[in-house]
Amino acid sequence: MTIGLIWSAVIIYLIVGLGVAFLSRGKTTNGAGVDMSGYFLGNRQMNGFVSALSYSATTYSAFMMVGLAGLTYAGGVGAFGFEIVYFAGVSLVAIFGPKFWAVGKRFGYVTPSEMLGHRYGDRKVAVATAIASCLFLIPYAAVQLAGVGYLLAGMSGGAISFTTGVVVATVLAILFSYIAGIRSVMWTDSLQALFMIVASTLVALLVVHSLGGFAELFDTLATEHPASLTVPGPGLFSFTTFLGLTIPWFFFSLSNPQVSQRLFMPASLKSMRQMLIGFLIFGFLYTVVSVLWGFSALVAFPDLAQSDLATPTLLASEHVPPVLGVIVMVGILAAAVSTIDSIMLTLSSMLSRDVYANIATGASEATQLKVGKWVLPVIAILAFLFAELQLSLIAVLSVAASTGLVVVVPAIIGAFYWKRGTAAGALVSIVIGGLVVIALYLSGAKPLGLPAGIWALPVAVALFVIVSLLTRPNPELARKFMKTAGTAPATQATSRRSEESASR
Amino acid sequence: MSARRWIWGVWILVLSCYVVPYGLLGQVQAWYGSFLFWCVVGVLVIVANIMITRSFQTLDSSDAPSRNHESPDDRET
Repeated sequence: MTIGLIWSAVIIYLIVGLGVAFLSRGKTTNGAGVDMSGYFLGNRQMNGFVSALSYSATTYSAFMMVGLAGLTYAGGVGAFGFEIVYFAGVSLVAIFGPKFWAVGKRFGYVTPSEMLGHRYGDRKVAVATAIASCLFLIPYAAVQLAGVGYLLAGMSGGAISFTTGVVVATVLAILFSYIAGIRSVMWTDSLQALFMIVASTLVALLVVHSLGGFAELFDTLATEHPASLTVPGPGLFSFTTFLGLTIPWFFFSLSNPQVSQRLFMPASLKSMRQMLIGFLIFGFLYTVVSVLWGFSALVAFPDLAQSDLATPTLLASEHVPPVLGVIVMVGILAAAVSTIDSIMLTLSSMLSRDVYANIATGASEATQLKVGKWVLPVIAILAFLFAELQLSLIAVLSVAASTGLVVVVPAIIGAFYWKRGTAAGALVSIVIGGLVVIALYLSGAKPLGLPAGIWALPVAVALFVIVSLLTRPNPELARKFMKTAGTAPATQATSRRSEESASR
Repeated sequence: MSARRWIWGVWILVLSCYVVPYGLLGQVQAWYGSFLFWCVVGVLVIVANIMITRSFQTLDSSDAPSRNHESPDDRET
């Protein structure tokens, strides 16, 4: 693949992306008197189709076409099961989405952490959630940036340096998120999502066809790699490993603020439904395509030294014409950038709304927005530096991201369903739970032989429940919140009324 | 079938994602084993979500869980 072809593709992608970002500018994000809700939530007026594509592009990072394909190559069909459990977990949006949306509109929340701080009546909960999110998600974004560096360096045979690749991804992410806040993120995400799904599906079909078609592909797998079609299969997906991977990912739609913040944004519940169903259709296709990609690599190149080489090797092979190879490369670049810019935008809203505004009490919306816009490139530069340094701690935090963020889940579910939950319970479960996860990953310890992914949630639940029961709740705040969310327990009078209407 | 039952359906599907491939299909080394099973689960999850969210189409802001009964100063804590 020539370097001219690679640069041409990247420059076309940059120009089209910037064009879309500028076109997305509107009164809500760039007009006079823009506030936090306008810039970071699109004034809660996002439509369903764009939201669906953006939710998809944000959720699915470069991990799918590189990491999941590699996992399938190394561990077989268990990788598919892992993604399907995550996929089923997105059903939590159908349950919690309307509740987030209702309380967001009612109380004016901009971030999920702000919601927790208000529900439990303690700013420290909001600050702790925001900082925990930064702690895990900035390294995660850094690893995505590094992925782009490796991709461009690998595809160009080293002609494009790792640093150049990382710089390209960082600049794109800053521009796409800065130009019009959530609107430029969502519109460029949509473009990128369409590109990701079309390019990857076309090339996967082409590769499968060149390997003899679906029947031939699976026949070869069944005869030459039979273990790859079962679990635990070649050994990577033992039951405990599968459980440790799937439990945190099942709760991704609640635990990761860059996606849970999206639940505040739809213009209506009808738009939210379109977002959810659109995402599920996209996600299912993209998952199947990524898994087929991994299986194809296993059939075509069974002796790779590292499973992560499955995608680059396939792209560089005779099964993929160079032009299509470069299109998929841009698709992977788009997948990484669309995840990174959403994370950066969400984290900057959290740092300004939940950390700065809670320290500088009384900061106006305009000041918070100004701080948020300043924080955005700072987060990007931090992620860039982490990607460049390639510290082992950063890699650990990135791997721990999904597990580390799951400690927020008990406080979120408790906010809606358990009026006895307290600020101290939420705070301890997030802080101590997060520290336990980091300690387990750093030490590599597996208490009772179980990985950190299995321990994180029960530890956080136990801390949340025990500390809540030992401390005093704020019943009035809980009542208002749960009443708005529609989860408040029915009073005697209302239950009597519903019994009467049911008997009629 | 009510939304509540479809939600239970999703939980059963999630449970089956662990039990069926690791139990019943552990020895089926073909496309119609775990691969097909997880494909079917994926499709059923989409169907279940369509059914769970049917009521979203008719709800607008006035019917949604949010009820603006309280005064603006409720936000002050």
